[in-house]
Amino acid sequence: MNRYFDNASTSFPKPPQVASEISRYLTEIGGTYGRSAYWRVYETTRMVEACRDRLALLLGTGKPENISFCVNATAAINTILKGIRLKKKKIFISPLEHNAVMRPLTMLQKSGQVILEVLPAHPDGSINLEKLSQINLTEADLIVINHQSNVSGVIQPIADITKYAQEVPVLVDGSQSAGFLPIKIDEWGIDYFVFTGHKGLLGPTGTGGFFVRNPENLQTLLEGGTGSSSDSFEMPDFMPDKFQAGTPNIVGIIGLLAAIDNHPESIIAHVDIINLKNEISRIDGYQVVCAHHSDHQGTLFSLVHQTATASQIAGELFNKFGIEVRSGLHCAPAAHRFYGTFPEGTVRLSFSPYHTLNDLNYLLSALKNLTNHI
Amino acid sequence: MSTTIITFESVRMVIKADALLRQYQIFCKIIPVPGHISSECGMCIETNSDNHELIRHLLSKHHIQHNINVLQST
Repeated sequence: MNRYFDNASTSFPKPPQVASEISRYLTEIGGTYGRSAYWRVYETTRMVEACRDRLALLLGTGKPENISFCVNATAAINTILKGIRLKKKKIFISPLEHNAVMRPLTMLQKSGQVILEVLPAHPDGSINLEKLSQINLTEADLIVINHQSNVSGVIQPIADITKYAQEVPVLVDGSQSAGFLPIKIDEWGIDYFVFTGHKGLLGPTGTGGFFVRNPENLQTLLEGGTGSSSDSFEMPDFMPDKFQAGTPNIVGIIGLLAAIDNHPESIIAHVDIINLKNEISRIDGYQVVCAHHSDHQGTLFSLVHQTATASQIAGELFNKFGIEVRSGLHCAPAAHRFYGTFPEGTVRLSFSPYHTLNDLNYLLSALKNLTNHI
Repeated sequence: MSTTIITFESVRMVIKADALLRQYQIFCKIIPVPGHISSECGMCIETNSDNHELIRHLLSKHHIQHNINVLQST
């Protein structure tokens, strides 16, 4: 029985090859990335570059060299938000952005570098395309969109948004979508795409990164050694070296490569998550925070209870049933304000490709049991 | 007798070039970049192939920027 329903925080379990490949690297390979020419370095470098190639394939871009590794999605978002040239001093955001976006943007806002404006949305948080078409988006430097909300699981219509954006660059935060949902960076015309390695991709923590379509439009956040152009004090202006200062997280990247290469097919189907969500919403006392159309629903959703707090529900689920979920604000106060669940927050249920129907039924019966005893 | 050294701006390009040239049975040996050639990335490819046109064609076709250096043995 898999009672872990907190895969939006970090995935568990991982494919077993993640641990075995990390162990093989640490015990048999070693070696750094690209700094020398002996076998250990070559093999390590080859694996890091293989990971970049696999990511490009998975994320739908023909430009793997434009993918940079970071320690997490937060570092990637900071690199982009602080590296773009703000000429018009305006950034549009979705109402569901989490603090990895909101905190750096608030810092920029407070220092007078940018004005933030929230895009129009439907009650479930999905961007209202009809209203979007009436907004002059060209007055902004950037549009930031959370692909799958980490509170409700609402999936944003990225391809439509990039169409309306036209020449305005779009930053898609794929923290909750990479590995969970189909992504087509090139086809959708995405300018910046951010991912983390340890959630939907099932890799280790400490991995993540971003894709940048036009690297010349982005300044570096970190400068340092790259193993290339070593005669210069300037960072190289070519990819992928431009944003790769210092030794990368080789252990993590090799684990991520193993995760991508051994990513399992999901045992449960999308419809099983929709059915679970519908079943929970029919239980007295619960209200589900989710997409209003099942096509826009991703791999997680939240719930609140009429009388019990989110932390009470989460505590009882663990104490009585061994079920692990995250309660509270999920580092997304903006989203909770939008949904009217601030400051209490919600109980979030987030799924894994390893979950079975039995796991979902167990969770459902636990929630039914709880509502009768609270 | 001469040796051909192919240098690249990034190690990613070295890895790509090595895999590509081996597919075409072109002998490749990864070596540290000789100091007198350039100070680009830390590794480069040494080959005994003198078919520079083919090497240049293959690498260019796959958008792998490179420099071919011919070292004469003394």
